[in-house]
Amino acid sequence: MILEVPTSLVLSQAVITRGSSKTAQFVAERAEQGRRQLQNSNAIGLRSVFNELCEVADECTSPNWDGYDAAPVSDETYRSAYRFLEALPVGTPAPSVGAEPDGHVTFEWHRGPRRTLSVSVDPEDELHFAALIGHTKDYGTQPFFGEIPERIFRLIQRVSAG
Amino acid sequence: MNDRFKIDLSERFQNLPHAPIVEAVIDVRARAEGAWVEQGVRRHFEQILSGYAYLDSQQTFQGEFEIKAGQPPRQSVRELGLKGVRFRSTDERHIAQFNRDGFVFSRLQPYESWEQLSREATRLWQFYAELARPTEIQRVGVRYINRIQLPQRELQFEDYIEPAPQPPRGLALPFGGFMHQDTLGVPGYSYAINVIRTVQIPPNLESEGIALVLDIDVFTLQAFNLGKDAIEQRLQEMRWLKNKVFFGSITKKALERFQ
Repeated sequence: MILEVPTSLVLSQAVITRGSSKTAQFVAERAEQGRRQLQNSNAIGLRSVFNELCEVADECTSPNWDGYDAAPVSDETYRSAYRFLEALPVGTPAPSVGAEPDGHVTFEWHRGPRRTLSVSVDPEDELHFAALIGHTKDYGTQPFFGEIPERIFRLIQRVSAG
Repeated sequence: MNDRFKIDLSERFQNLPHAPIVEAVIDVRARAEGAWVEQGVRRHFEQILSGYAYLDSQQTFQGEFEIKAGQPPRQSVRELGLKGVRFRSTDERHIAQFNRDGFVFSRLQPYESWEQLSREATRLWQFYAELARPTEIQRVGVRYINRIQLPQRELQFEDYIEPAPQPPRGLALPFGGFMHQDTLGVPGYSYAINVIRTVQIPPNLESEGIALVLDIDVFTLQAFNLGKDAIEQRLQEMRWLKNKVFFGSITKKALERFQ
């Protein structure tokens, strides 16, 4: 058996081509069941991060939630952030979750002052990211279509490595 | 070996009059740049889609169930806006989804041909692109869901698919079900393939047999600019991959049954 694991393959397992028949629905439920089972595991899943996202969204739904005129986290932003988490492959290290004054939700992988990545999710399904790895900076914006953009996933891998 | 992998579009595959295809799907993901409001989207397609009728609108919901110490459980549902609208052909054999994040075209039973599927999907895609005005395509998928109904009381999976599931070595226990998913890369190309093999067990085993499901999903995640030829070339290559997976996954006995 040959096992080759390019990043695109790791990322591809969360999203399937959408169908309409009862059999398509059956397959989607079975696949989701298996995925949730793994995601709910404490060892390799992200259950605690989903809970954290829910708490952050609840705490930041009103304007001025920080006392400094912060914008609320909208339902659209929450939806995008939830889908972003769902799209992370099982086994991805857990990020911390926060809200920003502009109402975006931020996921942060922080392994040290020079190994850190933040991905900010906005209501328009755009991902704004900034990473510092050693002396290398990388930042930009990528659209989110349900799969984690390869560039961002590579940064998660680099920050989390070792 | 992998370096030599080549998609051969000149290869011909056996035509199966009774192919077990319950659904064939072409799924194009692209972000709608124009406004995506239910009334406007529905009206647009109602005006231009002859032979189709509005089926439903799909909203995005998020359910939450919260449990806090000392408080009763709290359940809430958030409505997250219009996902898209669905139209069904008057003969009920096609379903088209026009979503904020792309277009999905399904051909249901009885399957006719690749030419019919791709022609109709391409025609409807043009209508979607006119309204959504996407600037690039993020993902294209070709998915064929095959459902092989086994005769009653027959559980010989190896007669139909290969490789058939096997119990652990030294523990020859009967299967109560299985769900097997493989993800394959395609060296030299930007495609990947998800292959799912599973069983569908009916509620009443006395009156119905078990069905084997072979679900082949070929897709590309490499973004590309809009252009009819660009999509068509990819669709042809994905179809070839789908056929190779299908004919490489079923047995001679199954092939005979589909003749």
